[in-house]
Amino acid sequence: MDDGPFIKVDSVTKRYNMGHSTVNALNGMDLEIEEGEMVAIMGPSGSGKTTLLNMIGGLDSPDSGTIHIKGMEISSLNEGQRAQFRKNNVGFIFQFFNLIPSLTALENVLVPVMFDKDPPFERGVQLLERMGLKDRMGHIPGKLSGGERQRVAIARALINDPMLILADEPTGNIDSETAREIVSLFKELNDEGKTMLLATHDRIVAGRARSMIKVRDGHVVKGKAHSRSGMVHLSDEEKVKKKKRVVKG
Amino acid sequence: MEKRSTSLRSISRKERASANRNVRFGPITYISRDVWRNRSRTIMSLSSIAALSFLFVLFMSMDQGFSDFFEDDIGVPSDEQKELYEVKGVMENWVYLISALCMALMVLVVANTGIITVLERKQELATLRAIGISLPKVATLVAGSLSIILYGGILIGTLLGMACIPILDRVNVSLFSDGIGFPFSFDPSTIVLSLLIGTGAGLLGSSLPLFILTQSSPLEVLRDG
Amino acid sequence: MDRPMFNPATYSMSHLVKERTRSLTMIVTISLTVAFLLLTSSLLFGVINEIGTSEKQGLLQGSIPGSIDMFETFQLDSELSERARNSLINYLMITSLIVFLVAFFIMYNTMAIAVKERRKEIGILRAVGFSTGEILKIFLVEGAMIGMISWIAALFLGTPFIVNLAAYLIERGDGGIFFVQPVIPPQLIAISLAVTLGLSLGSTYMAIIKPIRSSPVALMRTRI
Ligand SMILES: Nc1ncnc2c1ncn2[C@@H]1O[C@H](COP(=O)(O)OP(=O)(O)OP(=O)(O)O)[C@@H](O)[C@H]1O
Ligand SMILES: [Mg+2]
Repeated sequence: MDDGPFIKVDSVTKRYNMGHSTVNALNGMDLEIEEGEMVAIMGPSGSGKTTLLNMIGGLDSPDSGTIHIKGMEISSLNEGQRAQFRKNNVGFIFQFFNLIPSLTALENVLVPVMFDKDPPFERGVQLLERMGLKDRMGHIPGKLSGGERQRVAIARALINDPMLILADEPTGNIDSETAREIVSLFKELNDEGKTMLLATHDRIVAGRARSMIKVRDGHVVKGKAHSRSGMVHLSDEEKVKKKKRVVKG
Repeated sequence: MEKRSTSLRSISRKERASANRNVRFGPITYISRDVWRNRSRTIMSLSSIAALSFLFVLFMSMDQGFSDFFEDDIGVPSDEQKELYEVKGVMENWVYLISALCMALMVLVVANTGIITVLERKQELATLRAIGISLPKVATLVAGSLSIILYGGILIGTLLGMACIPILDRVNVSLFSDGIGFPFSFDPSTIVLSLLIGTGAGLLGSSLPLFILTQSSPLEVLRDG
Repeated sequence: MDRPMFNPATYSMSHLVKERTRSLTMIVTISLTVAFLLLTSSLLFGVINEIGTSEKQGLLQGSIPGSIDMFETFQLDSELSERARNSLINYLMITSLIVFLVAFFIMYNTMAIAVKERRKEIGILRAVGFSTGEILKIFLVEGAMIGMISWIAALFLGTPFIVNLAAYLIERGDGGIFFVQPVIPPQLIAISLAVTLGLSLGSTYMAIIKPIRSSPVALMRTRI
């Protein structure tokens, strides 16, 4: 694998024009994240968390600066290439679930692969079983609870086995009990080697992540950007364990 | 924990075999679900298109009927034939006028349905793009729904027309005063023609909604509708 | 007053401008339909007019911008061609009916989506204390505005266009001129206004009445 960090955000800026005024959503953002991390991104409303996740996930492109994922520069890809990148490498989880109302849970999970030649149908079934939704597969989202919807969305994010999972306020629309379950699920996924980035306002959720960065006015204020030792809160022992698992998988 | 991680990473052959074999999901399923979900609107658009292509077939057959009527016997024209011949010239013109009107309204129906589709499902289409389905593929899905409505409507309208024409032939349709029965005859080339006109209307009508789609950003996914 | 006060007309107007594409679709649809209905019914009036008097006269001569006198040379030859003409007008009436229904569908569709997109807004208005009737009024005013604009467009742009098109097509016909001079009496103008308003208000009402009655909470919940 590459020598550089898994995610490298290098002095990225993004401006939005709002009528007469411009908003600096990202303002010289620098960030490095290692593979297998689980990072909570916190910060006040409007600080640029969502914008950052969109950039990393290839939904949006920066005005200046570069973003490298696994050594690949994604900030200069065109729209078609970015769609391809999102499909193969990124799993998105949204605050409002963004499921397709007319499709069943299982079909929703299969949406990202619906144009594939040989879609992994069985994998969709397995993922839903794993999410504890075995007897909910044929239900449409309207018949599911918030937590169940979010678990369907997580299964959808996993269908292509992405290396990176981006969750923007994944627990913003569900109660705290269910939120805890969802976070445990995220931890499991992280244990399996997925790199997870969660933007959240919820301290409890952030507290259960392995590390945390704080964002304000479009740049990292507290944290651990650039300092690899400070970034990871795991003990060295755990880290070694995790590496082993990744290798095994 | 070990067990879970294997279940995600590698799925054994046995598990594959036991998985639900009936599951099939592709663009066709997606499109048919979409058409079915908005069925009341689908039916309305479909029947509008059907009515318009019915009108088209009706007037084309009227025109054809007149042509056939004069082709049959070329001898000394009777008074009736002379008079009907006068009507024939006008008839052709009405055929053009009605065809143009049908075409214009078909363009409007397709454009209307398409605009509604891309505006109403802005978020859903943005979600598809956010999770990695490329813009041309998303456009294919939208165009697929529109084609079902368009060609379904043309099919129904043309079949209805074909069924009605033998009945209407030489029957005196009089609503408010005396009339005469017009000769009608259905020419199979009308089917091709209405398909062509429908396709033209479809291309014209869907260009605006598809343009709106290309202008929209996958970032729409974040907007709280 | 502890709830927002505003003028429904300006409120509707701002929406019409904001949703330009949609408003334009509706206006084009309605004006095309109304223009066509005007044409067929003016022919009908022409026939009725003719029964009483042999003189041919009508509003068309110069009274509508852009129209030309294309039926001047018209001569009614015999009873047969009159009957043929009546038959043709019958078919045109059927066509008008279908065109009217199609226009209604298009209008209903467009209004239904406009309402659906504004469910949340309706919910908020309901929540801050507007009654069903008041919200209905806002939407009906919007429908009426679209109707009025379309009617004016149909009368001053659509009709001369279609009439001239008809004239051109009829002139191109090889047989002699066979028809009746269209007549647009004042009552037809009134009828067309009523039809236009019926079309726009009817479809608006049909599209809004069900969603508007559901609870504000249900209206404000939009996401799945
Ligand atoms: N599409 C856009 N157009 C205009 N301004 C935008 C757009 N997207 C974001 N912004 C602005 O950029 C800034 C950062 O927004 P962003 O959504 O990234 O913040 P956030 O940290 O995710 O906030 P929240 O916690 O409320 O979700 C905000 O000031 C916002 O108003
Ligand atoms: Mg945000």
